[in-house]
Amino acid sequence: MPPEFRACVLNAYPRVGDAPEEQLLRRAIARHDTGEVSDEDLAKAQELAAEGAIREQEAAGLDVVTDGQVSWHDPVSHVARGLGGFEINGLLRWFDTNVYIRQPVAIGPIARQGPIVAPAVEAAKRVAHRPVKAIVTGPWTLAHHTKLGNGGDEEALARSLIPPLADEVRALAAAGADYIQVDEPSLARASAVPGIVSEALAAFATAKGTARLGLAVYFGGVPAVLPELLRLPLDFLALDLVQGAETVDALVGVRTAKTLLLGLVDARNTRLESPEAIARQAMRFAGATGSPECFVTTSNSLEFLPRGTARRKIEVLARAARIAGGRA
Amino acid sequence: MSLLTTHVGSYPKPPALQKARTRFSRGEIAYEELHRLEERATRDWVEFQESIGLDILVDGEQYRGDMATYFAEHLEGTAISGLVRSYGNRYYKKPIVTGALRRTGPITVEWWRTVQEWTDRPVKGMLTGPYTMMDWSFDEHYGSRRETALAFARVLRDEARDLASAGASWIQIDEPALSARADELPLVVEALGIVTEGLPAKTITHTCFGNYAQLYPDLLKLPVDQIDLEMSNSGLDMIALFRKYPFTKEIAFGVIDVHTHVVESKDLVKERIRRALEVVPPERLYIDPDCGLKTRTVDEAKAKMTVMVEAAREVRAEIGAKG
Repeated sequence: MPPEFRACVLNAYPRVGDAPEEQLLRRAIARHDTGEVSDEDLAKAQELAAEGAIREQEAAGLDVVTDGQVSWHDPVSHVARGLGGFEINGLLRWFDTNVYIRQPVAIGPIARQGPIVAPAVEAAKRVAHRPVKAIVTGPWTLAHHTKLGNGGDEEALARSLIPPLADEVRALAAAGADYIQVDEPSLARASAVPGIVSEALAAFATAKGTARLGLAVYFGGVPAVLPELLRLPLDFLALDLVQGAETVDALVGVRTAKTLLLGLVDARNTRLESPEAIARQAMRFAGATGSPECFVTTSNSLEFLPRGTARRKIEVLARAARIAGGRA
Repeated sequence: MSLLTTHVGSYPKPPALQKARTRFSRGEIAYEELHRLEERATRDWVEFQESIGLDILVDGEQYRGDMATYFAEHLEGTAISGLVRSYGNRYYKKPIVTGALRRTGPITVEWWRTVQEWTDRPVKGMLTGPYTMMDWSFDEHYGSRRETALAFARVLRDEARDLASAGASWIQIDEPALSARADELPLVVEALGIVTEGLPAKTITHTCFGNYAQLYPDLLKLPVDQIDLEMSNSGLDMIALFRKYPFTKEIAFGVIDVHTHVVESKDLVKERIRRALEVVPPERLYIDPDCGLKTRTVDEAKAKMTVMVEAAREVRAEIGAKG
């Protein structure tokens, strides 16, 4: 069987654009901060922004959509807030980007109060005409970005996050997520897959229901651990092949029956790729690995680009997938 | 004189100026009207700084939007992108390098000259550094981070020289991006060195919100006289490292958290200054906020700066009393 080629974004989509109608969420958040907008009205603005992001992905021709993570403050504090046991502290640079997260500080036992990401995914399912991918930040990356108290143990913290995150995966499956992607950018350039990550994915695999479970690593490559990652209990693996171009040699040397998300379109530069060139790369990797299904995707979050450019980039994704699949 | 007080760069724009900037961007008012308000706001901030007794002044950057975009707007070979998120609910327009970079004339000199004429206290010349300009721009032209950084360095060198020729004796070249990639610190040093080499002025670089522990003590290789660090946001964590490897340059030590609406108590600021004095002698210690204050309200910024200067004055008196 020839491989299937599809297209999706990796995770986030710009929630604000330059047109006045693309600034509604920005204004709602600012007015919520000053008490002029209620929690309910902010939630409505977030749902509208998510619907806008979904519509743009569908219009571009993507096969799977996300809610753009438009309600997330950042990839770390958004999840940490919902897990309890953290105080949210000062700004910390997010990898090598000019984007800053609020750093959680571990202050007590983890106690998830309820669904964290699932409500937004449920809302996305109500408006999307395509399968929906949910994103959750993984325990390794969360722990790695947390400020620990004296004598704090990053590994112990990460381990304690597994059960509540497995509950979140269960909630995402119940919310109707078709795909559940665990983001672990802190695995980039790892020399071995930490035991915590294997334990976490094993736990998530038992909680995912009928959803397809995947892992995403970005901000760098994974050449040393690629075979190991492909042995994890995953349905799909997402790779950054731009900033993590060093993975390419390893990728053409493995065989896998798993779905691959090939992060070939640069989400950190405005220069537009040629869909034909991207399609050729996707076909090369599909052929070399034997993967039955490959998604053409972005190297990482599209929030690093202006919305107008992001729109053009997702058109490149969709067109590249069509070319690779012989549907152009 | 020891424990001199200063500021990192920006002050908040008053609401009237913010509105005028929006109206100007929509073509609803003329540049002259915007410029009049920029000058009024700048003069207010200069008078405020003098009134609280700040030692080394800044112009407050009332005429700048984003610190990288402002310079890109004045260079050939660039375009400006749409909005991109920085953090939380804050967004900025990023420069795009579309061709060979070229400076067609001085960018900041006229503002510096104007402001220095209003005060007898020194006013810092303020530039955004070459590594940060590179890291915060989309590069569609050079295809290499090093080439892009060095191209920015060459145009900024000319700007720094023009500032010095105009009489600026303190020139700050901000490099907030320098902690982005620890393995690129040699590139920061190389690019910044092009700007500061032979410059007849006290040179400063400011940086903030990164993992500086991984760069220290190599950070001391930066080719400037003074390094301005955010310290309060990160809970003064770096002090432990300064005990291990002495801070050998001048330091401007951030004692005000710029990302909270809460105005620090004078006692808290004094405590932070005393902690700084444990690792740096007073003659090499400058007191300032963690970063620019443009994200605060005008009242918050004024209250924070007032507390800071009063706290420094009192600690200065304590040291004098002991000495």
